Amino acid sequence: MGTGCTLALIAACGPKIERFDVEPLRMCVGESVIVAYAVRGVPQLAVSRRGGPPADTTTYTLTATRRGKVAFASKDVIAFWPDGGTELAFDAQLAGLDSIASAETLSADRWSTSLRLLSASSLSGRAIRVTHGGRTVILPADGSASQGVGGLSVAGPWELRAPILPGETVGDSAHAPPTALSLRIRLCGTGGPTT
Amino acid sequence: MTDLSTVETIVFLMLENRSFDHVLGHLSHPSFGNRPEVNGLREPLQAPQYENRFQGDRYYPFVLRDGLLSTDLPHGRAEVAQQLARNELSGRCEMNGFVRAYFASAANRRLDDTTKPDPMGFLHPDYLPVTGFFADQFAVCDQWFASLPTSTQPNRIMSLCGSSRIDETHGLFPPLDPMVIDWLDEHRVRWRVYHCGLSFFALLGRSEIFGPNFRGLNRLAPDVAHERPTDFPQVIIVEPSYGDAPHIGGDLPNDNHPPLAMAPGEALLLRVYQALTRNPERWSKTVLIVTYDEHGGFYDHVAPPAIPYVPAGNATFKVPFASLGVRVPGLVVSPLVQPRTVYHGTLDHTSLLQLLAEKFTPGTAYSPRVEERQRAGITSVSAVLNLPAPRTKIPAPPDAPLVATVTLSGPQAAETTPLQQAFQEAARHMVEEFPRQTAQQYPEVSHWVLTEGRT
Repeated sequence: MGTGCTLALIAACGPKIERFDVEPLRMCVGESVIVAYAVRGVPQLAVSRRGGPPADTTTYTLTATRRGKVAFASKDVIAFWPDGGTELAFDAQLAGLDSIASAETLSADRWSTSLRLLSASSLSGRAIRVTHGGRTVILPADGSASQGVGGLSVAGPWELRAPILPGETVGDSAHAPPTALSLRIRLCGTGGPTT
Repeated sequence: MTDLSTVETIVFLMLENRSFDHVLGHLSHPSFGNRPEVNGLREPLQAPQYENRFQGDRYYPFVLRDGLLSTDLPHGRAEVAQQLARNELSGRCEMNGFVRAYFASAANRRLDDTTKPDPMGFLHPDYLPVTGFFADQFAVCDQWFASLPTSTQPNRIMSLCGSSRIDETHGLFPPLDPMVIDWLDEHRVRWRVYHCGLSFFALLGRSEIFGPNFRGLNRLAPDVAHERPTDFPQVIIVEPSYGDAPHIGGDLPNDNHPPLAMAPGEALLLRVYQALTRNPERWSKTVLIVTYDEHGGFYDHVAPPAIPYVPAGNATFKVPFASLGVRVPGLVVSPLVQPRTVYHGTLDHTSLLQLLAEKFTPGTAYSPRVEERQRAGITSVSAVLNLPAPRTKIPAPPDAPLVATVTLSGPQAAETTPLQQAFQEAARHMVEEFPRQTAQQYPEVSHWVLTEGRT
């Protein structure tokens, strides 16, 4: 390719973000992130932080500039303060005749493996049986916290199961069981066993 | 209801790949349009009915500035099924799989792990001056759905045939049932296509693209102003310059296909409106219909009606569609509608074909397939028209400069999509089979084909 671009070549000569990785995306305050990128053009990384307890959000915006054109991509990192809390919400499906269930694996790329659970509680108005990190605990329907998951990493497979309650009818949109199960978790504690 | 004898010109313009909530969801939001009669987005945005979930996180609609997006968004058949998220528990589409489908697709590129992923963004009205003008001065259809929950070609073909023999974007020369231009010819209805770039009909193997019924968009305004009534078309299809088509020189896409910005599409809408209103007498009998082929992977909160589409025996697919596609913007721009009309009846792309039949073959359905959809509850565009006589004053379009935040390159996928490939093959086919006609009528296509080997 010569030094001069024809009009047809403008797109090929423009900036491009080939790769932009920030890991982890969920972590404890004070932890480090690793930013890796590859761009065509002149890179610039901007960092902006907002929030406060129970969690901070830091946005990493990568800009590539070339021949007066700009390409960009951004990633948000959430850092939980000690004893900070957040909610996990999972899509739920029918499981058998009388239960709803969720199954999802939270990736270690997204959730730092150093991010540890202190406790978990049900936000779905019903008892939830949670299987995670090799343990199974029952979270009471009243929303009280269970330390049964204490010390476990957030990352990894989660399986949740909860009953269909009286008055709920499968397939009746007006009285259907919930299509999500949600938990409140407290994070970043130093106590409790680790896996 | 308007007597269709007062309509002499029907104009149809289909843009690309945006959902209703993404483009017009702001209309009902108290901070923007504040029009509660529109079924758009409302406060609080962080409400369960808007919630999408992925990896334990919740995602909600947010205000998005227009501009280059990070990627095209997923919108193939399997991905749309994931977005609709039909759930046995509720017996309905939950409309909460848009973020999951997006990250599943974008994860490979690893560019966009953000708490505000593009599918959940809805545009601020400042970026939509012409669309907003249409919505304010004419009619918004807030229940216009893509015909099929899948990608571009099947949906565009539904608008042009009333049926589709493919369920995914096929490529060059997909199998087709008779097209609307055949129907118009059969019923001696004058029609014309005004195109900004390479016509979609080139993908369908129609040699008419070299004939007198296909003209560049620059011809629309003078034709509206001066052409004799006996020659002027009764049905006009306006085609944008497609982002997936090959481009060269100053021909920039204006079809609103992500990752491109909306501003060029807004400029196209303004240009078409200005052309059509140049002749007030002709405008008084004109209906301009603007919609989008499909939602392009953007979030919408309204579950599509469970109107199935069962493939015919000659189709290339066997599994029926269980519902319409995701809701798309629908605007009816005509002096025969009251300002700020909101039409809540169910529409899809075959609603246009219903209108054509009502106008040109009254009492006879467009086709059995279109009639089948009509019986299932899909209404005609004619139901949107609500004035017995045309408004005499032509609303002045916005004169504010259009905000264009366009870059020519971004972090989109490097690989060529099936539709891009089809357009490129169509361009090569045109130059090989019809070199003289292509050079005369589509010089930019000849130029692109002749130079592509050296770029």
